[in-house]
Amino acid sequence: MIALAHPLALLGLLAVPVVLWLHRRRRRAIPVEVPSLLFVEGEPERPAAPERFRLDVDALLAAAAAALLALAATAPRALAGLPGRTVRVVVDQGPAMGASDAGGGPARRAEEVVRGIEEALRPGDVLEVVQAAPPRLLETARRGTAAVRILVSDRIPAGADPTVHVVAVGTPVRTNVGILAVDVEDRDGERRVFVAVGNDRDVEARVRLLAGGEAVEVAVPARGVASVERRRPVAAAVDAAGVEEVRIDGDGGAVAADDRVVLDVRPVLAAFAPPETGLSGAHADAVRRALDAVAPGRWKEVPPDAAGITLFVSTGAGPAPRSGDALVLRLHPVPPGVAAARRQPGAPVRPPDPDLADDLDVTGVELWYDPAVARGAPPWPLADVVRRDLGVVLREAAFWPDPLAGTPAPVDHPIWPLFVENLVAARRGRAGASGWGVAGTLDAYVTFPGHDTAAFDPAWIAAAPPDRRPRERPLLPWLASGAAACLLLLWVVPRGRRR
Amino acid sequence: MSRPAADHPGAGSIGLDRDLFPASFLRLLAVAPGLVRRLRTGAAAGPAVARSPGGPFLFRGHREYRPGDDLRRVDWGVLARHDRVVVREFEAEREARSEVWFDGSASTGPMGGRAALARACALACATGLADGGRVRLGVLRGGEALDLVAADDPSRIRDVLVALSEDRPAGRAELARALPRLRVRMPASARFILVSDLLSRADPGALHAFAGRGVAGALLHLRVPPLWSPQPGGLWEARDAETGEVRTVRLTEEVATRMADRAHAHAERWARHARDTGLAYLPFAPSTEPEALLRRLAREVP
Repeated sequence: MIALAHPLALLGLLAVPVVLWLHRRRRRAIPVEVPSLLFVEGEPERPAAPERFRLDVDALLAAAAAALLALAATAPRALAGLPGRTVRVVVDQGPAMGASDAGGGPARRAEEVVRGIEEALRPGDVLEVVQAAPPRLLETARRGTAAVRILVSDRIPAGADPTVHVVAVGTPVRTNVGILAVDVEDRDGERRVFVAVGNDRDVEARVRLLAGGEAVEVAVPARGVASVERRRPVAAAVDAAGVEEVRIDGDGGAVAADDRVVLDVRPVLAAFAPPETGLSGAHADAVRRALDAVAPGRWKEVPPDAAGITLFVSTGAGPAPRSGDALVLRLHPVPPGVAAARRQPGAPVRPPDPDLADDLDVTGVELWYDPAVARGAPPWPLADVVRRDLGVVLREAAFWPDPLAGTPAPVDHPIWPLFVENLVAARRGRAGASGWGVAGTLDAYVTFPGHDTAAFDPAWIAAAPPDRRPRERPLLPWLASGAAACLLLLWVVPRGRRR
Repeated sequence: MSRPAADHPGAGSIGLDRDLFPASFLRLLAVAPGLVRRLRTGAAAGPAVARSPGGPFLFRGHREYRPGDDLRRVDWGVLARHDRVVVREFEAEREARSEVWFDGSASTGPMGGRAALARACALACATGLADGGRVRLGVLRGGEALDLVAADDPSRIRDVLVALSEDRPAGRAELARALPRLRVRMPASARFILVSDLLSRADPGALHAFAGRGVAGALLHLRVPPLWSPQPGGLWEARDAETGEVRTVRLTEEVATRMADRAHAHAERWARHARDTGLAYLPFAPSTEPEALLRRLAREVP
């Protein structure tokens, strides 16, 4: 039915009433002047019997209507069959795109660029708009099949790819001063707050920071970074909320998102559900070591029935935590026959699931199977570990392929720290400049606004060869539908009213 | 009503409808007097006895008696002297008068009826003038009998043609009222020719009023197809030319057959009454050749 939405199809459908009108006109009474009605008297005014099916007339109508419906069905097929181009547009969603300037900011200009690209499309072209964030802009632009790849960002990335056109919508005049890193550590009865501030201006910037209720002046050199560390005793009253806020007091430049950081400094309370024997025990030890690696000194193991559990590690059918706020990590049994596992280096082993958001980072895990154990087709020849910034809405995560089971792989296999790091980040705050906590160091590239400008050229699309072939549609169902519709029409219309 | 004289029916075309009277018809009219005389001469020796081959004034001679001859014309003296049964013949009446009246109703207009009717009237007038008699042409319309033109010489046939050209079919003839009035005006022993499509509810018995006055002549029945259908089974919205009444009928084969039967019965009824009255019944159609109609007029109309 989508095909019938084509203008030519609608035109064909409009022709059907015309045919019906011609049909009725052809069978209407013909006016004729006669010398006298003397000999007509006694004849019925209208046919008394229902009109018979007229093969010569009704079949003609059916054929004409069928032809029109076939035209309506095939005309859009011909047009839909025009070769087209897939235009993949990657729009930078990094914090720097949120910079404000007199022109509305890079984000607004990026929307205008996308509208311009949409207007430059030709019949048959398809537009794919993908949102991505640095530093995976070029990588996202290269994905998939497309005839034209366009990256809309506030700067022209280094290492230009000739297959990707870059439209730069940076802000040439505005600069930024922002928080690049915040870290908090409680040690020896005092809290240490580390703050790093970046400056992309050509002159030195003096920034007034508010951290832990205290103000401190920081002189940030031109196009440089300055850091400061504040120490204070841990005060139960002040730190009861478990939140550490750091913000710039005053003009923070073009990007407002990196002027304030709120960090959850509460320790990760991890509980491990029994039994910890066999493989389950090995899994629990692997998680503990991963926590030591990604959150040293910021996690504590508590009993499964303790209150305020952050991370609850369990087996596939194991118990659940009492608190609803805990993040549950279920370690499922190993698929039978798995002999070895390792992380697939490089690109993912398969394209991302189209249902997943584009900002997911899919890491492939390749499994080896023991032919002596595996029977038939392996249930999970490939498995994906989805590494993403786990939001607070995430309440349960599952880890199915066990890279440790029956393998000589070390317990500090890179999959475990990656996985657990995400869990911890989900608990403490996402790294970034959009209001989440920053535990670690950010790249200034992410937050400082770009100054490049490059316009979109419609010739990029016009000169690109088509990559979409026409889709063939079977004609027979349409013809059959048209014939059925005609017969239905002839049946529905009262025969006494047809002339 | 008198018209300017003309030497030839085709001389001049002022007032002459060329659609009604094409050149071929005018050529036929020019030779009509001689043709009529020849035809009537031959008919006198034919097997059929004419009802009145002439008036009672100028004796022409005797001929052998044939069954059906009027016994009053038997010459009893010759029978007594020579023992032969012969009848007396007389020259045609020089003062014979032809009354040509046509139906002027609107029903004669459609489907070529008007042209056929006008040519039949012209031929009837030409036949009457061929014998050296006088002709009066009139129209029956609205229950009235209206004179159009009177002619006493074959050269006046053009007046007849002009009068027929100027008359247009209109209204209704109302034969039931017009025929009795015409009968009152009809001179005795006149040659009466009525040209009509007879599409009327009038009683054909009205023709009997003309009997007993020595009136002879013919009823020229214009017959056009009551309905014309190029496609069998077509639906027709038939409008009566006279009354404007509209009827929608499907002209199937059965309907057409019934209509033809009614038309045939109607014509037979008028023909029977015409014969009983002493009038010859001559049906004709728009497709009838004028020369054929002229021959029938000369041979069959007394």
